[in-house]
Amino acid sequence: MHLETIAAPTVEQPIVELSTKLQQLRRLKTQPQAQPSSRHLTSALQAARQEPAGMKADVSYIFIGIILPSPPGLN
Amino acid sequence: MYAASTFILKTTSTCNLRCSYCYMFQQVDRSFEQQPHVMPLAVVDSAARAIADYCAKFHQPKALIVFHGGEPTLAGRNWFRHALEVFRRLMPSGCATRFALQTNGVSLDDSWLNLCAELEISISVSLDGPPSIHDARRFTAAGQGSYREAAAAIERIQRHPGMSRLFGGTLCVVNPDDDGRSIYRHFRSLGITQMDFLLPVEANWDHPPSRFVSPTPFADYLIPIFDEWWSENNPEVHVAYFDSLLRLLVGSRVHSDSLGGDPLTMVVVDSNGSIEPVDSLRSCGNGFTQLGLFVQRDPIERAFQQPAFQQALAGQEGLCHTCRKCELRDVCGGGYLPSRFSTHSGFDNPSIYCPDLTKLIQHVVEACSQQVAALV
Repeated sequence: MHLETIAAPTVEQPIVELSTKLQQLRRLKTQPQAQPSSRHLTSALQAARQEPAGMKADVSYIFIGIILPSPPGLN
Repeated sequence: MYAASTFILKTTSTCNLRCSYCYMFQQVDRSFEQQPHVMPLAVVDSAARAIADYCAKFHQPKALIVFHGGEPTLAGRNWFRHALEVFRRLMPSGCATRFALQTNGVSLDDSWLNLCAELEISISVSLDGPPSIHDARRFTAAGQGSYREAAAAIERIQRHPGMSRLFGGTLCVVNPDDDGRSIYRHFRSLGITQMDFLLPVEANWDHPPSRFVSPTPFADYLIPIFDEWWSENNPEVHVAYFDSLLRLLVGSRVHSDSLGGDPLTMVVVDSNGSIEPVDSLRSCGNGFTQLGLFVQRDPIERAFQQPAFQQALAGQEGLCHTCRKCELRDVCGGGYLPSRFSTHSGFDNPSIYCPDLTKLIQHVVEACSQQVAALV
């Protein structure tokens, strides 16, 4: 059996509602008036809105166990 | 050109612990048996020269030098003084260079903290939970648990006037036998505000984590942690994995080797000078990461032409067919590279954790969407 078929049922089902929610979340980045009550989500949005177009955010890195302190002022 | 900005130095190929899940010493890769226990100073010099040359040649604006092991503190303080002196002298002036150390905390006394504060080296400590959990997996060759030393090291860091700003937090390897929420609460009771949880790197399609009853044991561990963290709603508390998920969900791009699917930006230098890709790929086979290239004679960029690097470079372009058509691919990025591996089809598979990642991300999306619904 090809390995892809093992995991396929989880990810191949049409998830229309999920797709809509994903689009709504991504649109928040361009809606500066939107201020969620979750401070974690607000931090994520602040980081995304400060990110220059086409650039990667200079946020926490994760790799084989290293967590770097976030740059000052990001959160 | 591959834009490497993170350079992992395998400072030592030895450790004072025998953690049950260690991909360096307890799994299929035995290359550590051929390596010097401590990276010789001459190799440090060659590594610094090669990395500095690479950063200068490709105008890298920033670099992160990570001291990793094994247990890097076993190299001794003089080793670190030498390494920092050489790197600071050789790295190009236009390249902002930071230093980080991942440790088990066993040797981390005040003299180490004074040194790291002086040299501005960030520290992260591995901690798997309260003593009953941590000591069962992170122990010495004699079977002695290491919780007491690790927790004491964290407390020492938190009290150290020069180190608190350099504390990268704790790293916990997920084990679904445990209750994630109680582990998170334990970390919070220790005053830890930066932490991360890693899915075990030893699981792949050759070695699936099949002993669990739930089809999504890792999501079942992580979701209660997310819920606790989310309801705590304290922006000073960072769970790196969740921070990254949220940022990816709102359209940010995050450097990570386990989420997001951007090409990896790291290079590993083993203690003998061997230039290698992501070292957790050791879990895929004995000698899997060895390319036959060495900092003593080869430029860093030569490694990028090697097939072993190509998959890491490919990012989302290298995802399997199933992942490419999945709407969550921008978030999970296909998952951590070692977790996609099988002898049968290489990395052309979804992550072995795909059901867990899907369930977790859907849960996070749902939590966020409740906020969005209130806004629109």
